[in-house]
Amino acid sequence: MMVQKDLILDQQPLIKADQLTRLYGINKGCEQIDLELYAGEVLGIVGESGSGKSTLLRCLAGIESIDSGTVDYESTIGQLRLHDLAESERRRLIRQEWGFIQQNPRDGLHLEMSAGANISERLMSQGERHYGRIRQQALDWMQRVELDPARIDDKPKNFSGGMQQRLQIARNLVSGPSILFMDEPTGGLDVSVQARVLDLIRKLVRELNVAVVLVTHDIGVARILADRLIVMRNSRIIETGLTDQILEDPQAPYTQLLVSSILRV
Amino acid sequence: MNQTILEIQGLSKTFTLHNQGQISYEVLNNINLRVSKGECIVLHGPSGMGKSTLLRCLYASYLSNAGHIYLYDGEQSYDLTQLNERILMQIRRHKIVYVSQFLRVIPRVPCLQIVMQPMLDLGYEIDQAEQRATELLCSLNIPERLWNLSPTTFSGGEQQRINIAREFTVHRPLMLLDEPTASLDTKNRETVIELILQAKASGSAIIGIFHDEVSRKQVADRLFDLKTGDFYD
Repeated sequence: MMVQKDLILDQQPLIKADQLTRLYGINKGCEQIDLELYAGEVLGIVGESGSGKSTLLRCLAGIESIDSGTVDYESTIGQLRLHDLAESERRRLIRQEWGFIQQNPRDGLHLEMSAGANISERLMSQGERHYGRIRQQALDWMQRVELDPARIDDKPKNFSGGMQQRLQIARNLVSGPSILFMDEPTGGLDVSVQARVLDLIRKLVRELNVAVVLVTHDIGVARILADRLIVMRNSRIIETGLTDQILEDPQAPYTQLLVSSILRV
Repeated sequence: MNQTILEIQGLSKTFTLHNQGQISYEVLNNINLRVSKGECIVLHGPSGMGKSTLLRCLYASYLSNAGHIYLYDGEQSYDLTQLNERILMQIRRHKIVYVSQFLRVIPRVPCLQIVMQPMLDLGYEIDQAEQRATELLCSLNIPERLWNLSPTTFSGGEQQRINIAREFTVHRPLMLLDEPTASLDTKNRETVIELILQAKASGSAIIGIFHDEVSRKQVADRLFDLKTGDFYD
């Protein structure tokens, strides 16, 4: 990477949502969402349970259909209007160009397949057929997520929750995605394991320069990972800003309540 | 000569606490200040006057309620109160040093990595970043056996020196220093003053808070009184 001397002022967003709406009922879902995601940044979406943040994430990732509005993705072959694409094409995006980290790693892994096979799946779907190279990449990624490479042939059903989550991260990052979607990535983990997974995510995201959309109800997680935040309540965005600004000088009444409720050690 | 780096016009900051009876209190009212290349302005006055608040407004951690903050960079000028978040992030990374009173880090990340990170973010090679980081850690007397440990368990003075090392790795045109010499012993304080004088010599415009008179006398070109808007030599 070159030393960047000047500011990049006229960058195209990777994802642009315009008046995105997906409602299941009044204030249930997400409503009139405008947002942009740029290469290499970590965008945190915070808010209480039921505020619509997971729905928004799934709409941005094209997993969920939408009622109205648009989501545009700046792909390597040009701009794509996400919800106009065939479902097969959206599935290809989420498998090959993006990654999606589920809160529960058991939803994002094949528990009956070996750890190595879990990591390799995306490489093979991208057309890699050379066994030795696939094996080597899987071994490298075991190490990068701090898993013992000797366990490459073990099935993840025998791994701890933290190990499973790290395997899910490796499985998603091996294919070099441009965007990584994460839904409460440390939500189901013990506190002692959380810090390790968070640090790992932070490190890999920087090394790979991947853009991240992170949904979390945990402000501590957002503080560590996110460059900027979107605060949601009752299906709408109520505040946006740089992470430190939102946490140190929240403007909306709800955000002030949210931030003042953080327990400090 | 006398090239302006930072110009603050009519800056005001009021906090409104919505969940505590809608209380509003004004901390800054109509601040006007200009800082030139290589100049160090020290904010003057007792605690609670809004000195740290002003630095945080300049770093855009606090949103200003009125006024403008212009950062001049060659041909370009940016109003920090008006920029979108993406540009602001880049401006911080490239143009602004901010030494806060407390080191805030992520558990598990070792010192050396913390100090290298701003250079890595700017795209410097790992070797270059490591060389500069170790240089600073040495001059600030952080023993090598601590370099691969997370500073979360370090003493206050050690944490502050890590904080300073991290912020002094690369030259940036604007420096905001919130009591960088507090809780340091004499020897380390002299090192930090030396670093600040070097930064001035290389053209950084500095706004700082220094409670100890020794440091203040060595670095300050002028003192600025936030309440009255007056300058002292």
